[in-house]
Amino acid sequence: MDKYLGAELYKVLHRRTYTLGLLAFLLGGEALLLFLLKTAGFSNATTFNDVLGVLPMTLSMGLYLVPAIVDIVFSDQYKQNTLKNEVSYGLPRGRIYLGKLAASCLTAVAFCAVVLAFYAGLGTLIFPVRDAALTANQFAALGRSLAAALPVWLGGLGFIHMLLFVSRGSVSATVIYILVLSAGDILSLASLFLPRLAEFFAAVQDWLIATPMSGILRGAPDIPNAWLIGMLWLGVSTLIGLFCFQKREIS
Amino acid sequence: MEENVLITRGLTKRYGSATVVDHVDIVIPKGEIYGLVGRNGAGKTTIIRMVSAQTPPSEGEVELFGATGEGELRTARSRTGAMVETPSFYPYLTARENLEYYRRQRGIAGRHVVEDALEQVNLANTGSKKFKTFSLGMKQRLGLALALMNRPDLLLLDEPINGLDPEGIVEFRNLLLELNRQYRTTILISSHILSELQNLATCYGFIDQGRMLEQISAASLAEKCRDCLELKVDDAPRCAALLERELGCRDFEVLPGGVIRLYEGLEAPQKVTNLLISQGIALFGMDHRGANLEDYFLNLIGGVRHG
Repeated sequence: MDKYLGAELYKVLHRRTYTLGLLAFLLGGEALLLFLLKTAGFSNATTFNDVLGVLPMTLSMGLYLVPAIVDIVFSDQYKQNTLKNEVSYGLPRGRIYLGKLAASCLTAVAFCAVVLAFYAGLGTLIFPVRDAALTANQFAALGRSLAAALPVWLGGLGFIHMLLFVSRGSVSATVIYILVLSAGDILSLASLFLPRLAEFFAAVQDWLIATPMSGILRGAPDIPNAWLIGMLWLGVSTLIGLFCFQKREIS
Repeated sequence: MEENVLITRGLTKRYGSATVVDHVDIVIPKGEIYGLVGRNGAGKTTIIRMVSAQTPPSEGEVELFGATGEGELRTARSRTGAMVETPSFYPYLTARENLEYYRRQRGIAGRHVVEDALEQVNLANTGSKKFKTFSLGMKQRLGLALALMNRPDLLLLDEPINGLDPEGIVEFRNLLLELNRQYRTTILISSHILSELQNLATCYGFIDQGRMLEQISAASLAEKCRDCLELKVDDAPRCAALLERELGCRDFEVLPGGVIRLYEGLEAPQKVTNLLISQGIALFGMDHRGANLEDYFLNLIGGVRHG
């Protein structure tokens, strides 16, 4: 597995245009956000603490970035037909599936680290730190938000990874993924039209992948619940993906 | 005892109600170059895909280097190199990066194997050119380089010379013959270009509509395809005796239906006609026959089908 993982990371590092392009897009977006905060009318009052306070609210974006990051590793395997080179050499399909999943997880964590470090680093350069004690508290709160967001991202990552392996194309997989992310809103809307099912819809909503993000947005992350839901999505998706991939024809 | 590298027993593939490979038995001893001959859709690619684990058989089994169990087969497959249909690589990587990726993934020791494989197929100077910009011929070469990278004991090649220019075809043929001669690499190769296959194969399997029609060694095929005079006469035994006694012929065969195939004296057929007329044997027809692989295959499947 370590050789497989090493090869996947080699591929990620050599997919320069896509990887660096995505990174530049994210860092550019952060720089733009900080620039807007700096140049807004209330700029004189804006401190690094304000900038840091915005960060947990952006963590739910991670769920929407997961398909782009997984695609760095997955690389449209069915379109390129590259999986045949792996199975014909006798590599176990389980290793192929789990190896690419592990590489996606590592890539996602690396992206997350770079993006957060860039935001915090640039923030300290541009904005004054007025209250050291508050800053420490904010970093602790950010840590709690990240501890809750990480398993949710991994759950989403496992889910899109499964969809990419099971479906024919990355577009259909991404559409299904986005629909599932939006399922909470769809169910809320459905409750208005079907009030008798509202209780059932609410119960379903509790287990949706995006649900723990609402706690993070409110500044009250439920870390155990986030881990439960995230790992459940990751585990179940991985089992389904492994099962389907074992039987899949490689063309 | 000679080791059999690949054996298939009753190998069958069905898609719904369509049977694309129907109980195919193949035995390939070590060191053979086995040419799989058949038209489009005959089942050649599906057989190779089943052998290389890209699609599971509906029935039957594959034995590779004596291994039949799932786990054993996986290990045995690491001794093979496969190039099935169009070579597939990551479009955004160079030839060298693509091979390096697979070298790391497969745990093949030594970075030099990538350079060696690229040099073997004349792709060592492609530099930073990405795979997506390669010509079909270059893609074929890279596919072959990947198949050769682990110095395989068995090469599975499906239509490997598609897209190669004439020079590339000759180089490719010489490379396969060299591998076969130097390392006794066993090769299973399918191709539409039968004249090219004839330059390589040491045995053939003829397949049509998913069924194995015949397996034959190259020597036996050459024997069957020898040039001959085919005579159709009213009294074949007497004609045979006359040919032997009067013209000293030894190399002929008597077939049912008054047919005699004469493999010598082809340069002077009038001697034969004169003899038969003078001895009062009715000669209904005389043909100069000879067959190549194409003719043999077409005869076997019952001629060219139209419409």
